[in-house]
Amino acid sequence: MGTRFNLVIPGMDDRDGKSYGGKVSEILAEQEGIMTRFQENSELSAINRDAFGKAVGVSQEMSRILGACDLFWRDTLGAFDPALLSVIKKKHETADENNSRQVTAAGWKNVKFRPHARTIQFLTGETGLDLGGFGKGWVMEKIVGYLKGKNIDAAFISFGESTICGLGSHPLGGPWQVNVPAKNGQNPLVVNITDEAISVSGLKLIKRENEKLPVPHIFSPAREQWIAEDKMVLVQSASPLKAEVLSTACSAADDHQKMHILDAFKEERFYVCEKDEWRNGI
Amino acid sequence: MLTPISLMKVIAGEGNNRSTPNDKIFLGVIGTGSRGHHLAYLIKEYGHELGMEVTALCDVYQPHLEHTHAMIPEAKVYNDYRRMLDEATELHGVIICTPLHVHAGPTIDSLDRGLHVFCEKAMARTLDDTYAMAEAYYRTGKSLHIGHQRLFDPKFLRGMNKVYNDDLGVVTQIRAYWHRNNDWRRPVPEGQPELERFINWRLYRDYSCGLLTELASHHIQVANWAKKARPVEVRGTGSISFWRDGREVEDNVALIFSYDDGTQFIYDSMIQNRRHGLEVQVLGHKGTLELETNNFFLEEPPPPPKPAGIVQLLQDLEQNVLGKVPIGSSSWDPEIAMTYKGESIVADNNTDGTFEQFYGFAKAIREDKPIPGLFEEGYYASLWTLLGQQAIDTGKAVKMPEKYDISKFNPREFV
Repeated sequence: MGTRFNLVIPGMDDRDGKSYGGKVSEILAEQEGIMTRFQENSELSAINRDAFGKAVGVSQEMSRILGACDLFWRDTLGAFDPALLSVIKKKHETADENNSRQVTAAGWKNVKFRPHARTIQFLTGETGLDLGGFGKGWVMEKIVGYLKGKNIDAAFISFGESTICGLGSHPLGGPWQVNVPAKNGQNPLVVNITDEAISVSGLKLIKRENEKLPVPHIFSPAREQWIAEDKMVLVQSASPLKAEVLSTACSAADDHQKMHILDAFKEERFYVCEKDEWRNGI
Repeated sequence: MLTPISLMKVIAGEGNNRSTPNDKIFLGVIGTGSRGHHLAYLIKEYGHELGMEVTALCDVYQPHLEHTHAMIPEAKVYNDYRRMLDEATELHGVIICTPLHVHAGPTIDSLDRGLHVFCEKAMARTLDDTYAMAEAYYRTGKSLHIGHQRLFDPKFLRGMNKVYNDDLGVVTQIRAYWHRNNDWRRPVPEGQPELERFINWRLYRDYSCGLLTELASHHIQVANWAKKARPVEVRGTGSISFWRDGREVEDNVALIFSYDDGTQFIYDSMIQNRRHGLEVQVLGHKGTLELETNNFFLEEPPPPPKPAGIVQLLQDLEQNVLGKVPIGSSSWDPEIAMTYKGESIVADNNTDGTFEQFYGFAKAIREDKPIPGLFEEGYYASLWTLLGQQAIDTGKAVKMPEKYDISKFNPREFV
């Protein structure tokens, strides 16, 4: 996942804090070991090395992950596609012709996942898994489950500042309030979250001093191009995983896919920031 | 022990009266080839900060002498260093940049005449010449600085502080390399082929050990400095593997210096590939220094700073304030492996210590006494450079013969 993680639990003494923090770190490390593509010995890396042309066995946890990916791929009509690794790796070759050829050869449509046999096979050499836009939400679910199991009734959890969960209520009462600026700290969207998560995807093209403009990082299979618009999508959901997956999917979706997503996920709330203004919808 | 802090004080000017040097230091330069010309240029341009001035130049090769004299026309010129030492009575010190095999004579004669000497590294072509220079240094009590400029380079000084402060933990390996991609030749004047060995002395065994004495000597000094020790033995190999043009020194060498505590210093140098340039890495169980490129890495990187939103949330909670957390943003470098890029050893890496060496030299001349511990750094670096060549030549592990141990002179430590 390669990102930052912060957990704030109010009213916790040092000893309990260290204990819970240690266990959460273990969960993070365990899940990273399964899902990251940046470690050669992760399960994901092994699949990417071995699954072209032959079915390879996967762990129970990976099987659950792949099952969830399959569901999201179907329910977003492919706007969420975790099998575009070759496209991501060739990020800088953005000519349409190249993208088109790679998208045809890559993608979840070329993944043969058999949940009962717990095997996965890639039908093309270009197919490979990348769980960006999924992993943070998946792990957030695990951590929320762990904290609830420990009867912790209030916590604020941030994954890379883009996937955020408010567990329970603010210790002073009421929901956790998150302030998501539209531009340079102005025109914020204030989101109240109680036992909910939000996830923000997309690009805010603000050039800060000594920083380069952000680089497009979401690829749209439907549009066969990197999303370079000055646009952010925020999804609010009781499920951190849904929030994470749908914010990415909505950023990548074409109009047809967007309509389908809004229809399929009626319990989620969608916000979009364009031209430095937030509005409902995607 | 030569401490980095003591040399930092020298560079900072403590006891050096840099700002208003009212007692001028007059210097002679013996050997006005490329290095001698460069050092003379530095003193001409910046020496006024230290009250230094070049008043005499000496070289047996007239074109070099004229080239440098054109830059410093007020300096007197000589073709024989002995005559210069006899006649230029105003001199307080000399800078010796002759070819390696003729370092010893001018150095010893200058010391014996009561002058302070700055001699380019390595000290000499032979062990006996190197030792004879050391004897003259201890006999006369004058300063003898060897041109290992990393001793005055701020990033090396701060780096050594990190080593000594245990920031790296136990240092068990040092790795260094120096790679270039050129034939290392200087042009010989047309129609004068008899000058080949004179101009390209670095390529011939009678005058130089090539990559070892001209380059490796620097990193051997750094390794000894980091370990506060000298090696116990060296193994090595080398070859002329690419530039087969009649040269006699290797263009491709590899050495391993072993220290008493088990530390290995692994060194290699070549001049047919420049991809990796030069580096010296000090490897401890807690951290790594990459000194040439001004980098320090911890084995366990520190946690990244808390995002501003989280910091505000914590402050609000501590002050019982119900605030909004300004945290959500567009995807934060999503799913890109976080790479720990280490930290800079010094903020401004804009010197390699070449000029800063003269801060130390000026201090030694003004106080008319050496900086304790400085000469020994140059001596053992030079000595082990030559022993490295022996290891390559013999194919055997080479130890330092006891007679070259200078501890019998009771070198003083810098306090």
